[in-house]
Amino acid sequence: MSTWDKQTSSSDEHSFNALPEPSPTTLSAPHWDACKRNQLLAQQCHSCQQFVFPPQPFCPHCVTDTLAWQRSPGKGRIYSFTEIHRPQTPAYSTPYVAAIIELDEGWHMLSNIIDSPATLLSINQRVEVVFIERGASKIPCFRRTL
Amino acid sequence: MTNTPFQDIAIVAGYNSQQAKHLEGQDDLSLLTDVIQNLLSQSQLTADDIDGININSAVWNLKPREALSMLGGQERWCGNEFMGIAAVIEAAGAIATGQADTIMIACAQAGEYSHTGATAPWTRPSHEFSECFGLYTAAEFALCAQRHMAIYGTQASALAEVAATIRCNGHYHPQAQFYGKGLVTPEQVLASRMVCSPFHLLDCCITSEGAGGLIITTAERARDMDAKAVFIVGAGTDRQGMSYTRAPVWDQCGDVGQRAARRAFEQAGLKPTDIDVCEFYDPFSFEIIRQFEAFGFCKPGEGGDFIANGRIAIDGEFPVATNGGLLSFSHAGTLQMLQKVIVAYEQLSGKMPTSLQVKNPTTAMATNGGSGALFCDVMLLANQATANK
Ligand SMILES: [Zn+2]
Repeated sequence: MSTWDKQTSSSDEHSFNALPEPSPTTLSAPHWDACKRNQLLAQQCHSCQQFVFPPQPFCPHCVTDTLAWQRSPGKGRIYSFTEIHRPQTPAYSTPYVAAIIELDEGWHMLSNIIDSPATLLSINQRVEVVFIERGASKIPCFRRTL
Repeated sequence: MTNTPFQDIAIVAGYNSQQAKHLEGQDDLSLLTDVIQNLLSQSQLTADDIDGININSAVWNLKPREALSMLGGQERWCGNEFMGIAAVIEAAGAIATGQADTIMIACAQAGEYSHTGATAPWTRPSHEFSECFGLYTAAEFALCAQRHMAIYGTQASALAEVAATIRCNGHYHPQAQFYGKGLVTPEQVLASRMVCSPFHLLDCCITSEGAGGLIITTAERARDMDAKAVFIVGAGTDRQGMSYTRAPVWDQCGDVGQRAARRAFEQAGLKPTDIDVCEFYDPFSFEIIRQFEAFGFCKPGEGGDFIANGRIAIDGEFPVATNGGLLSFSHAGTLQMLQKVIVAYEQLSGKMPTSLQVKNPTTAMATNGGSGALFCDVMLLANQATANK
């Protein structure tokens, strides 16, 4: 009955010791490469001007293949946030804040708010991007601005 | 009102095994055997009468096609790998289009998760745009709840009221994981430790082992059978892409399920006020509030007030998650999605434990999914083939 055997879970024990690093795909590699240079990139459609994130192979709004990577100033506001007390894995020290950021260009991304306790945060709080080293990668986090 | 094809399909048996944190000495195979035997005896059918199946166990990787041999090797219709309402819709479509007459749908999970240091593996999707920020299922749903609370002023006490109501139901259900574990008050929910704001521990679903299943057939055959029949009178699915791969932006996902519900209500000739039992998916307390708004039971932003004053209790106007739901009955892989249809069947056929039986219900709404997961499937059921009130 070999096919009944439980499949080995890919991300169990080994990942508990270290914070997870992004594993870029061909599609997302430009975003993660830019993070290493402290730049935040999202796709923008040349035809309809809409921003697209996470990256797509063609524009989901007008279905043309004229997407190009654009640098974002990395400024925006907190769309929503949660203070996490039970961590994803023990590698995280708690509490930490996860948030949806609405960039000024209108696109959204998941991220972390650093340098501020949740008690000082509110929805619509202005934030700006800051790049944090994570192994061989850098991940885009955000902190409060005025 | 003419019947839609769904209304010619009936559920004629439904069964759950005992649900528990851990079922000692049980595995998928022993649980599925128990389910299959009980469904056949309940419906007084033989294995030969079953000409279609969708039996699977996603986490243990048992595929429906592989499970076919459990009922003998003869030719049968076979479902795809999804579970829950989507599987019932698929099977109903197969019967409605003449591909099969009587289909068994079942699901089991045992022997899965035991690590206490981290959140369950299936709640930790490894996607590049969520994992490295420490997100997991509860946190994604929390981002939806927080946004709702900020823009509408929804109170944590409303979430706690939902959680306490559902957990009290589970206390009374003999097959529930939390059977007899004590009644829960909103104050206890608010006093339980914070998982990710605004969710306290008791706002969040449990993890379980268990099994369950049901049999559906044509309404015509159901009338000839000795079994209690419950009719599918409407259904729909809303999907927005893969769960947990992008930010759950409330403006985009807050009303997921609305389109599906509207279509289901149209098919059934029903409206929200006609629904007697609300077997809504309850991965987190807030999702109950969200669904009342998304499905049109109340206006956007009014859900927190809508659930107050006993309205969602067993003897209230819109009882929710009457077996204890994902918060205290069971949450075993994908089984809990199918269990929303099973409990709707049990309510409408009068098979619930006495203290949880809603008084003479004629209609029920079952749902799967949620805002944070970017999908919501709905099914309307009735104890008459034509449900119009
Ligand atoms: Zn475009």
